[in-house]
Amino acid sequence: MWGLTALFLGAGLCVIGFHLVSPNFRDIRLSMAHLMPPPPKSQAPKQKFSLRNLVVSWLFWLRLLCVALIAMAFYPFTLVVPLPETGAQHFRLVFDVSASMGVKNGDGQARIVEASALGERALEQMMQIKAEALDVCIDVAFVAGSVTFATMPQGLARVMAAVPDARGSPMAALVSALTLATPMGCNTMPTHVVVVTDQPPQTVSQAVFNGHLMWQQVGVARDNLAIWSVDVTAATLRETKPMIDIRVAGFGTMPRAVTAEVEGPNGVSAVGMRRDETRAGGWHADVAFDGAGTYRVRLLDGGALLVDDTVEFELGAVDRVAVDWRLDTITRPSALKQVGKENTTIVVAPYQGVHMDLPDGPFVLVYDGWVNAASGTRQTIGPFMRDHPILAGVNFDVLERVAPRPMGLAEGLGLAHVIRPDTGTGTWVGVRNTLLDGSRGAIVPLPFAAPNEDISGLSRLMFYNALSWVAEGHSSAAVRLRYVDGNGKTVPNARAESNTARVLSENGSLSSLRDPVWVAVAGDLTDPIIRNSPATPWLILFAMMLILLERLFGLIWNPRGTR
Amino acid sequence: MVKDGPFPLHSPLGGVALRRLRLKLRKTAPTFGLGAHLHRRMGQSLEFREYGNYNFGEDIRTVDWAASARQGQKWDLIAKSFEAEERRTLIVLLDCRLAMRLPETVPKLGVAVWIAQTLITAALEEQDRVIVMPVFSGPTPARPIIIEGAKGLSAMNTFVADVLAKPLFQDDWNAVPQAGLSPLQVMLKPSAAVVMITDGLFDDPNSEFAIFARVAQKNFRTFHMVEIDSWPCERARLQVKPFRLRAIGGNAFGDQLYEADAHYLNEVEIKLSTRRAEILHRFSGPGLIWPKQAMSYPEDAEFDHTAAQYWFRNALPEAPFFANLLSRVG
Repeated sequence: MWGLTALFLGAGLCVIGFHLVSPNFRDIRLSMAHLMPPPPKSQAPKQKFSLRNLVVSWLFWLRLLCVALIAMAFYPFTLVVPLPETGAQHFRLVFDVSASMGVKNGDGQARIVEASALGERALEQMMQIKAEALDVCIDVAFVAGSVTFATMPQGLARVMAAVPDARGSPMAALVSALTLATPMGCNTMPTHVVVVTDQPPQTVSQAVFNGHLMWQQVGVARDNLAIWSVDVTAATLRETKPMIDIRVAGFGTMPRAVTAEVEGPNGVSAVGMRRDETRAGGWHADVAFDGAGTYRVRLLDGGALLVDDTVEFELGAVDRVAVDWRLDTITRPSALKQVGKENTTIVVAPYQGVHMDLPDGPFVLVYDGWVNAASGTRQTIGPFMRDHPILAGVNFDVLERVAPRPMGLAEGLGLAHVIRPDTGTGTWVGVRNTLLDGSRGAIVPLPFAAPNEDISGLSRLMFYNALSWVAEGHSSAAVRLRYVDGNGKTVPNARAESNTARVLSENGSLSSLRDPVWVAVAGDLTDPIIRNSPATPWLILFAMMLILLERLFGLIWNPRGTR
Repeated sequence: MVKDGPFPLHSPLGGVALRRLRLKLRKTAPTFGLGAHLHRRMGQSLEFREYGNYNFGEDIRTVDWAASARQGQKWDLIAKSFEAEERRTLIVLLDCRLAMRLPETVPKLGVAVWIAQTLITAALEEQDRVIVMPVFSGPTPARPIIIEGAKGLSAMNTFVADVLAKPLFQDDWNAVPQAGLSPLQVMLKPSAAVVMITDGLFDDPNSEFAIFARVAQKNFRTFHMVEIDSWPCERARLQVKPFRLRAIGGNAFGDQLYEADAHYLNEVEIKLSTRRAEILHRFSGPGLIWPKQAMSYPEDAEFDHTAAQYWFRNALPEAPFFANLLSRVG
């Protein structure tokens, strides 16, 4: 400090000296001096330095002011400015203890170890700030699916001894911990939050949290595989037996091979999985249905995270598709099982026109399109759905020659024309596939008494096409997956943190915890308080303006460039 | 006193004003081939001279058919004759002594270049040949600069800018400058006019310059002296008391402080007049044109080159040499 003072005093004195000192004579060069006799000698003493009147020199004062302002900029002067900050400061550490924090880094150390050290440092910073200010509150939120709170100093102890939980934790749980009210301790909303997690930094809307957020990500990227879904395809007219479709998601580097161990009611088998071309990093395998009972699928070498490697699910009797067959004119195929009038079975029944109440579930409705003399005559085909499964194998020449009678279709119920005549509003084949559960419905012509072989063949082809198509859409049985750990205990949200291969982002410095919050924290609007702000930028700005002013005045008053 | 940047060598006169000037040289001056100056000799130009009888072999275009018809005789054609336009050579001698680099704010050499540019531009407008010869430029005589366009002007400006850019304190003020006119002797014939731009205070101990001046006035040639007088400005600077006079041109004054009173200043003026009279006497000849009144600096101790440009624009047309050398057209 004293050194700086001496330096700037010296600079000031130099400016003063520069203006004070000048000789009492002038050197003159004359072009005709060689012709001049020596001039009369002066009696004045020769002085190299003489005092000048500084008061009249505006340039001197401007320069002195510049030096003074620059000097002041080096000192810790502050300006008193009002800041819209709440009086109370609430520091919160959101500490992730979910299952993914147990993932080990390359050196064999779990992510939670690194997180504990980081959390400890953050809490120390907060406590240091608390020691310097009066109204500061600190709490710690531990997140593992749900959020639990701890006050200081218990929070610090728990952070230091933290172990990863078996549960996974969705991102929503972490974000909710930013603003959750503390059940005990702090009564205000958090103003400064440090999040220590292995999840990547999130952009949090100011409407959710507008305090000071510091996201500290830990853990290097590690490869992982997770069982993503299991679907069951029941036996239909096309399948000979039900299949279980197992899908696995891969994160990070793709492994050479993935093997799953499938344990069914009748034994255990190892299944080699194939690459799923429809999903990046995906694998899948089809396993034959092994009877009703409990199934357990486990990934062998499932990557960094263990909790998403094993699932259990129950399968009932899915060997045949159930139908509610109400037709007398045609026999039910043996691949379909007759059951009662339940919503989940396929209703096969006669179509009764636009006023008929359609079944809620899947259906195949038939109408006798060749019942009177007008039917079976030649008609031109109008618009039709290209490549629709119901029309597979249908000879359109035959259809035009022995066209059925068109039926009215209640299009408001989600029914659509598959094929219709060129004239009129009726249709020959209609479908419904707009239900949320994916169940399908079809309306096709079917003669109760076939007049000729063409009509018989054509109508049966379209009927069985329709039955197969509806059954196919109905056959996927929803499977309730249950992720389990090695002890068979259920792991909630196991799939939420499967992506352990995310790139580690740059963490900000914890020293910014001391930065003021420049916007009022939502829900805690109080009067702004007065804080000090450094004056350095303003002093330098004024000094620069003065230098410009000095140069301008110098040009105006002294255009020859003399001082 | 600190100089505020290099002295601007481009003439303060605008291009339009410069192009309206014409050289006004003596009609009897010898010529060098065909040029634009009117001369009392019959030749080709647009200036009508007289009517005469058309002779076989002459340019048929010179026949005045209307006048011939009025004459009445069938084969007596009347032809018009015109003044000849002939090319001349203008030699400009630039005094480049060390003293011409003073005063520091408005060096006389800079003003000399402005005057030279005026003369050269006027000469070039009439297709005349111009030679610029720096004299007293140092122990080694400078080479003549032949100017036949903007390139030649630029060469002259570069030469003078180099002279002015030399720091004053590095030069040998005690050295007596030599005229260095030997390369010019061969170019003197035939020349229309020699113009010397100087302060008229130079030393010519061996009479080299005087001999040259006399030769230049032979054969009806003219020798113009364009004198620049900086004494009023420098005299004003001597009013500061006390001052230290720096060395120049073989006269050193030491570190002593001086004061110049009126008596002393009068004494200096007498010395300057004497030197001019000496030179006039030695140069005197049939073709010497040296106006009594010089182009004088204003009596301003703070006279700088900004003020000098304004002064030059006003002082040039009033200078006596202007009337002798130049005229304005259009």
